[in-house]
Amino acid sequence: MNIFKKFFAILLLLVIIGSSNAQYASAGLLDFVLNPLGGLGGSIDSGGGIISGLSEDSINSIIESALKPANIDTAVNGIGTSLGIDMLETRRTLKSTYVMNYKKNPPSVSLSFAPASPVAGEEITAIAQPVNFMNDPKFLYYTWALDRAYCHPGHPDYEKKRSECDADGNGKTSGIDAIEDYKVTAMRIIASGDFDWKSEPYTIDDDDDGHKAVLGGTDQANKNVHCYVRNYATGIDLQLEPFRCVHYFPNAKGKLDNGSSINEKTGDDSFGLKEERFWHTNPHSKSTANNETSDEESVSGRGKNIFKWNYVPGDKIGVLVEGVSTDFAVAGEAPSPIVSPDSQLGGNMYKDSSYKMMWAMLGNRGTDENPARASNPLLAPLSVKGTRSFNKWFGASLIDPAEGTSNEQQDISLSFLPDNPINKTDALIIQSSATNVAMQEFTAYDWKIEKGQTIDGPWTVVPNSITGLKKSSGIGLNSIKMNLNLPDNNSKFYLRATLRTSEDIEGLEKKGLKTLIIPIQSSSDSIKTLSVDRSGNITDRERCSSATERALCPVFKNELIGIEAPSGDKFSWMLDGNPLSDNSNRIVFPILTDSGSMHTVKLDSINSRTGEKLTLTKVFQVVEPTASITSGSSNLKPILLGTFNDTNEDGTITPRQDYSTDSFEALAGQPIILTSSSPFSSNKWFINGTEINGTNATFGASVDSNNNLAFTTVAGNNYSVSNTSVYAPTTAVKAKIHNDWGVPLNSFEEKNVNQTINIAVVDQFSSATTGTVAQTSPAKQKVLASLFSGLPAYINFLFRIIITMALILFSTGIMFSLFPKQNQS
Amino acid sequence: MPCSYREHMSNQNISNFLHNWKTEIISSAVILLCLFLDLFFPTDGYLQKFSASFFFLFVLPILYIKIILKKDLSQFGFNLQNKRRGFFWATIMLVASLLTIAVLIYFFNFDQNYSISFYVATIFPMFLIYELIYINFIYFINEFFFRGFVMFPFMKKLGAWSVLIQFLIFILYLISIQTIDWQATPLIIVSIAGGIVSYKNKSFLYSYAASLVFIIILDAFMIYLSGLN
Repeated sequence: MNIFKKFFAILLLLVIIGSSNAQYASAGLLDFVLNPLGGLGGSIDSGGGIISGLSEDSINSIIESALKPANIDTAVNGIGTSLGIDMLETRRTLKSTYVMNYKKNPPSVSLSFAPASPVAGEEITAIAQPVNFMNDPKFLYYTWALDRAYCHPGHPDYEKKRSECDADGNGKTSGIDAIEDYKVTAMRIIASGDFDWKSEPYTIDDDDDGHKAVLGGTDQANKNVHCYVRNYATGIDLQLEPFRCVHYFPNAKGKLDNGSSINEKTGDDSFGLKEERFWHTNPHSKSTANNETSDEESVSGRGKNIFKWNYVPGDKIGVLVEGVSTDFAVAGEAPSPIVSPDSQLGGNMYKDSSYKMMWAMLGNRGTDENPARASNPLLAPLSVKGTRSFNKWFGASLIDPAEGTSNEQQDISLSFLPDNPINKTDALIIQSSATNVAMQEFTAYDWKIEKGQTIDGPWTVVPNSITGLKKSSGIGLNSIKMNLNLPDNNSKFYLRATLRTSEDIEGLEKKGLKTLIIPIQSSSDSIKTLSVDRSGNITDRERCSSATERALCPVFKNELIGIEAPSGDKFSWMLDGNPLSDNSNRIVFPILTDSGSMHTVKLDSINSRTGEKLTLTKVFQVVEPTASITSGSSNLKPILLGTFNDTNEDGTITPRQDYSTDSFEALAGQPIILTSSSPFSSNKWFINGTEINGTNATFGASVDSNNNLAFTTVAGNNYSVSNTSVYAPTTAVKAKIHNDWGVPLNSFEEKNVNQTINIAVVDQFSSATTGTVAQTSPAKQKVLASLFSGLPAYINFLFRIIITMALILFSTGIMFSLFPKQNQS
Repeated sequence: MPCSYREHMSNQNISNFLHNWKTEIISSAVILLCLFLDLFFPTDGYLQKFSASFFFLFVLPILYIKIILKKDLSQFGFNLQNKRRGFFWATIMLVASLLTIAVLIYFFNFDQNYSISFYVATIFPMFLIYELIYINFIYFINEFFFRGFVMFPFMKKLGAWSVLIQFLIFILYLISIQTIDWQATPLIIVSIAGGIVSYKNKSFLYSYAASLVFIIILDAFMIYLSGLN
């Protein structure tokens, strides 16, 4: 036994021992290498004779033991651990690398269509999207194949169109032979465009439109070429024999329309008269379809990733893309004698600039030959017979553009506005959108609105009479707008909108269904508007509390407005979309814009205890400051101007009397008291232009501490009573607006607010001031008018005609009687 | 103061004139009143407009004839007497009207200016409704009023001049409604030709029949020329 064998045995032994000894491991491998024996310390010294005394069996035993997989693993793990390497992860990575080559994605192609759901007779565009090709897409060759539906027996137009189906004129239109016809049909459309080839005599070819095709794409010229086809099951790319490594373009091989035979190859830089005729191209135009490529280049499909044709239901389309893969070309020579899945790694890579030249088809189509059964596992077996095999795979890859879209569900999505709808306040808009609807305007929509108290229901249908929807189903009804006026006083409830859609495409019905649950807040919660006192402090006095003002609260320029949240403990205020800095439940903000403008306050509040979220809005309209003069005295009555008829929800009519606000009648000799609604300063009363300050003997008038004017009317007099005041923010309010909102102090202005009423003194109230008299009197007078206005217009018209004719006949009768008799004398 | 003999005779002549011409004078007033009402009576929509024409150009004249004049409608041309003669003159009228149209087409491009509804031209049932109801109504009212009610009161005293009188009134009527254009050409032709036929036969029904056939042939020919048929 030589010394080397002994040394190796000891080395392994030490590694095994060391792997289980952390202290030794930490001592370092370098020491052991430099001083292998010294490193063992005294034990080696004492056992120095052991080495020399080891028998060959013992050494073999040690080596065998060391070579056991478990022990090797333990040893290697120990080394890895000492170096800080996760050996388990490293092993996984190594294993992944080992099989990575089989999992590489080969060049492939997918198609998208526009429109996605084609209808008969419509032009459809197929767009090929190649991936994992090294080439720029415009240098790839796209061979399209179009299988027309009417070329199959059973189609209604089969007999009429079957002559078009043998595109290459070779008399074969079925099975694999038909694939060439499909390819010729498609590439003719690409190359010829709309050229009227039947009118072309094809006598002279003078356009020099040939194209020398380059294997693997036009950007691969002068490179070595190695062709492969993928076996998708095994993940192995099988190399084709050189004589199979050719273009699989459609060739002009068959018969022309004039009956003469043709056998011309595509991409040979020769595109003569017969080829022009075969491909229906213009022999006088280099690019018949005017598509930036010569006619032969078009036939070869160079850069033609888009194909358009007039769709017939049942048409099938496919594309074969030729180019070079992103993967290096590997020689199809297996390292003998190993035959295993990893043999591909053992192949020699070509030491040249080549990549794998490959073809991509739809649906992972490639060879299904089992390489393990072949004589050479990396070479395509003999069963791969060039064009015929390619056509077999290609034919199986064709797809119907409508396939997969006609039967699938419509992808409907629903949305609603506003984000936080409030009952009895907002109008709710529910909109739908669909990504795969062919024609939205012809899609039938059926909406159902249900209400529930919880998000889980139960749900009860809300009828159109409540939602206000004129119709809830119909064609093109892709959105609905409903009035939120639901008879529900709960603070929160839910609406469930269910939309069913259906669309009829070529006899196939596509349906869609979508449900949306919308939380609705009750309008009983609202932002409260509060008055601000002269010191600029918010008060408890509510303003804008009437129904009309609650919806649109009138405010004045340079006024401070107080608002209060109804509930919650966390608040976020927004004024016209801008956040307000104060986030308490009561805040103040100024009105700084001129009359006519609007402001919207939005409140988002959260109740931390219940988790309830609330969103409310309040709208303010800036108006000019006004005031009015009113009286509670029965001795003063306003003049009745007329009657409005309000139409109620149930169709009945309620008359509403409209009284003048500035013309009154007062009983003579009776006291009247007038009150001004003006909250503004410098409030003064005038009677016939004379200011009433305290008491006035002339008019017997006085102004009390509440600023009410009282005087006794005198018979035969008319009074013009005015009240004036000045609207201006107080100094405290101005200071607050200036300090908190940065408004210059010189930008505030005063406004005079005047109101005048006229009082006619009467002995007793006229009918114009008493509702009963004013209402009933005209009613009696207008009986005939009401009768006629209620009749249909045409009856009235006929009545007028008859009256007119009767009048004419009567008049002519009178005239005849007035004419003198003949004088016999 | 007793008047002189000359004055007496003059008054007597006026009185006799008024007596002899009272029917014509009052009828003229009624005619003008009917036309005035047809033009200016307030209406709303086509139905009321048609109704107004029907009442003022047809019903009112009939009532006037029956109630005021106490005469039979046959005395105003509403009769079929002299059938052979009537059909003869109606045929003459039809041929003459068509020849007139031919001349207008040949020399004045009448076919380029005469328009007809696209729907009438392309939908045959619509053509029938248009010709047999709408056109029939207009032409019958037109014949009754102008060739019957207007022409016959003057025929007895003015003879053939009554044809001219009804024609002038008709033209004034067209001017007042501002429709003197190529579209009114058939009505103008019918007004002269129909007046002659009515005068010759003492009946407007023959001219009505001839005018209806004339307008149907004309419209059909225009549709044929338009290529819309």
